[in-house]
Amino acid sequence: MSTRNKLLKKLKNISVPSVSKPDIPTFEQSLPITAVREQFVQQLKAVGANVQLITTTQEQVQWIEALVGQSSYIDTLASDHSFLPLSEVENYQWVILQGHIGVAENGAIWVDDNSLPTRALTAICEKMIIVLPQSLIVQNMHLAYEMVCKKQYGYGVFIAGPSKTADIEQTLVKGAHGACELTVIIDISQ
Amino acid sequence: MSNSINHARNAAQFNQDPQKVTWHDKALWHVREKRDSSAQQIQEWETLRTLASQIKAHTLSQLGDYLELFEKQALQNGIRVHWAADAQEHNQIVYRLLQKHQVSKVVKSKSMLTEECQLNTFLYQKGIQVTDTDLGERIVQLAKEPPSHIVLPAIHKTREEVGELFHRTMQTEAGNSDPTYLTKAARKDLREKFLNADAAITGVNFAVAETGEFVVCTNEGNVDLGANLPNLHIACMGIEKVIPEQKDLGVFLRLLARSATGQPITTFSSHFKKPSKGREIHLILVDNGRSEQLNREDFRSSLQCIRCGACMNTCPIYRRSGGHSYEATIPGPIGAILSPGKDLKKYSQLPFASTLCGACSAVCPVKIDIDTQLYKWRQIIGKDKSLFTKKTLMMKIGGKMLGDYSLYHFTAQLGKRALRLLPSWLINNHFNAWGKSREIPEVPVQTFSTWFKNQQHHEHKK
Repeated sequence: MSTRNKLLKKLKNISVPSVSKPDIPTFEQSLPITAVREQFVQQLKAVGANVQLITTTQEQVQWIEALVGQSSYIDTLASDHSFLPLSEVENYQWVILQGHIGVAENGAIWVDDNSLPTRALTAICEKMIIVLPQSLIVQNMHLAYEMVCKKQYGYGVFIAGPSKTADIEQTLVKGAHGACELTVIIDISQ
Repeated sequence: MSNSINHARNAAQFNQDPQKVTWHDKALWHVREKRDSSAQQIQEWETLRTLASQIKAHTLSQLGDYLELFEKQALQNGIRVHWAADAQEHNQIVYRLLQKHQVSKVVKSKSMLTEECQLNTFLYQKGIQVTDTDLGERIVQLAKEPPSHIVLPAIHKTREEVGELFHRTMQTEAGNSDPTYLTKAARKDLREKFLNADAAITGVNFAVAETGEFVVCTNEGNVDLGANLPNLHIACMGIEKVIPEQKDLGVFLRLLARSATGQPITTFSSHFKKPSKGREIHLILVDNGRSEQLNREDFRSSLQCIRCGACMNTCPIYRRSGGHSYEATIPGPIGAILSPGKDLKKYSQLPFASTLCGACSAVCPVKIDIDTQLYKWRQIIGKDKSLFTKKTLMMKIGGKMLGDYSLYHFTAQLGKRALRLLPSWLINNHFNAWGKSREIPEVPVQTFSTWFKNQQHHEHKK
């Protein structure tokens, strides 16, 4: 008998009293979107991200230009990058990503491979910009998963701030392996 | 008892440097405090703990069914699923996959399961270069040590020790122990390894039966970099890591990082559902003693553990004895109830490495009654003479004396006098472990019962 079948048979023969699965509430509070956004901004700052609020596409472009300057960048929002060879990705300093969900309680932003030319872009560039419309900010993880479950993806990740470590004497250092710097641009007109 | 580990002796060794013990104790207590303030910000915290505990208990009550469902969904997603009965089979599966893909260099992210299976040692022997990429894991790998904590693998090392280690192994500046400088040096060194790796091995925090995806949580981004660059990704998980539905992740991700480090969530919570085009994801489901633990009614709920490490950070014994003193993959309170299930003889001292204060159970995000289970292991070990020798004679004498009133009264009088007259070397001898670094309090002039009698006498007079 295969290991699989042996193990499944063994597990069937262990009698564990049945325990029912609890219902999970969403713990949603009645709050105006501005209050939810304010909490999101606070949490983003707490997890080490920079935040820019904008109201027009023009403003978004200006902010990105100001941040990126003369450095090399991959703008996944701008056009089709499926041609981008993986070996080259590492040479770009900045990456600009589209966020699909923002979570107010922890500053996490959902990014998935629907808008990623290559998956490693979530961790390979030195600096990262994520653009997110205000309307996609939810209060907590329960509400976030209500949105995730409607998505088709092969790879998806909640990113909360720049990559970090505290493995040397509990001292926080930004930029372990992924981005050393993260700026989140929130379009509050949407 | 030759092959059993001696926690007390190991702890004594750790305590030879009192300054470092104080430093270690404070570092971990600081993490515990961060956990507290983070948890206090969530109104529904206690409800979340109850929910998490119920979801896990429910899953364990139908573990076989959920594993089958997970396998079915994962296969449909294009993830290849393997099953391993023990560490050896797990390592063989990994090696077979690496051989098939002609892999010589592997990047690995943190996985307590691969530590448990001693995968690194196994792969080194096969001539495969394995690089641990989590900074803490990298530090202990370079130092040729096991991790001393499941979330903070190098918590036992000071920055000076890391500076010296990196100078020796990575040629960083001598005497420079600035954490930012050292982290940047490791980033540069590891970036090369990431870009040249032929395969990635990762752990798994949660596997979702409903969707066939698995989730890995990190702060550094080493999983997202490691697993997404090479063509082969092998993920290794214990069978207890499966959860029923995707929405359950909402509960667990709210609890995990807050309990572990006080962060509201880990920087990366990475969901792997399907391999990208032309690549392969393999997932290994490992039993290695978990089904036996499931069959032990009293210890079943230890399988609910989500490996946050909160019980270690809060444990007064762990904080003052260090993770290495447990000589187990999982140290601390949770390790002390998991390890005896694996090898009772070897780990029979661990359930005694506790004050039974219950702080571990109070912070556990999935409400495992750790202190109760420690006590229950003690009952089992106490009944087995081959496991428990040192205290037996003293317990017998003590039991007889405390059970007989006149004998007790006589010994108390005698003891009171003896304690005052005998020299301390005779009292604090090596049979009395409590005498180490403790002085017996000053002996009162009369015993309690004499005092009590006198009081009653006075009362009557009034």
